[in-house]
Amino acid sequence: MDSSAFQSERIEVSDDVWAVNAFFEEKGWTDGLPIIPPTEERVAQMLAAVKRNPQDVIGVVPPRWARATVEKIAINAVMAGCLPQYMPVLIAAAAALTDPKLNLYALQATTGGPAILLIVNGPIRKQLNINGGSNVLGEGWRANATIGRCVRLIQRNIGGSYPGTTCKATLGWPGKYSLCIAENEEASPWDPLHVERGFAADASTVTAISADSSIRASDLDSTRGDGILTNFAHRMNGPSGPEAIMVICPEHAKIIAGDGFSKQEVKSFVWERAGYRMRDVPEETFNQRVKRRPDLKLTRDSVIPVTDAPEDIIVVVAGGDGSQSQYIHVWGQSTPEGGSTRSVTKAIQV
Amino acid sequence: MAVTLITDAFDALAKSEKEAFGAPDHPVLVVQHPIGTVKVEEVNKRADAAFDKLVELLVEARKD
Repeated sequence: MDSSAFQSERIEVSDDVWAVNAFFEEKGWTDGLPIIPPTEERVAQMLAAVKRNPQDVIGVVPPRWARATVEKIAINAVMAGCLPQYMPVLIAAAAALTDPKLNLYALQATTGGPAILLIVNGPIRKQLNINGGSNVLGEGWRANATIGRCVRLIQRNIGGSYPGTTCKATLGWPGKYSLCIAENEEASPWDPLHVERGFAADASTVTAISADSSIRASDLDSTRGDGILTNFAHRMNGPSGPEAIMVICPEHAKIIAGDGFSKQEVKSFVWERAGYRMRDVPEETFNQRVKRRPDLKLTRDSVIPVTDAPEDIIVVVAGGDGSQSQYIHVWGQSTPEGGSTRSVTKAIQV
Repeated sequence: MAVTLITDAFDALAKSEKEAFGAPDHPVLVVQHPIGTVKVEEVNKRADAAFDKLVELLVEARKD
């Protein structure tokens, strides 16, 4: 890749990693962690991993509504610590991020402060060593850590999302630094997410979802699928969302499927039991819910389901040994119009 | 003709949006933050106080 074709501004900074980081921090170009300096040589290496014109526009990133070109993605990829072979995932992730269905503008402007959860499916998980096993939502894998981080840097450096001004997260949460997992397809008794969404099993995809911090759905007592799912559903009680994410650990998945539950039956079983019980909420809250959802004709005996429909629950099998699943609430409201955000899955072109 | 209504916590975001869309003169009516967790009487008071300004901005926008 000939770097003379790059359109980004060249900046001369002292050839010292401390000085470069001080400069980037002063400019507001980092997430607070040190970055790898995006030299022309490193950006060229990143671009050499994909057969794309550096000026191809993958999407437009709010709130600056700036174009995410392949070149700009590559710069942020270097800064995040990505390897060049991650580029196809990053391009697909940027496409998902900027799909209008995700409604990134709202996700970035809201006081709610959601993260972008990326779920990677297909053979690329193994090729890039993207973790879907033990500690999947935690630390320890370069691909997970830096792919998720690059997406955050794209939001910040291309999209202009700055905490306190254009990002109005009241608290945020650590997932906003980086949140990228692989589905543990080998340990799943069901079709993986991408197959459920119409992609071939040997295709690779990335799914972007608006994610609030998770709630642990530990269950070391149940030996039956209905027990695990009933306890899981109780963790999902409370305000609903446009979608909901069940990250089911392999041990739980094996028991649930062993008792005959298909993935769709898992969703239906949980959907029928999880919800926001209007009899338990204060009067003001009840009145507000009535105003927001006139279509539901709520009474004090109503239970607002966790999502509008069972199929809005996303089931992913991930994690290692142990009986520890997690529920991830999806930021936003379910609305009569279909919700304020929707997850987006894009094919990764290798 | 339109006026965007925001609370003052979103002032910087509104400025950024006006710049991004090349509409630096787009009228924005700013009310005190928050409104989601204050009593309805206070919300009404703020709405009444903002109403004249809203009319003014709409009329100005129409003149343009």
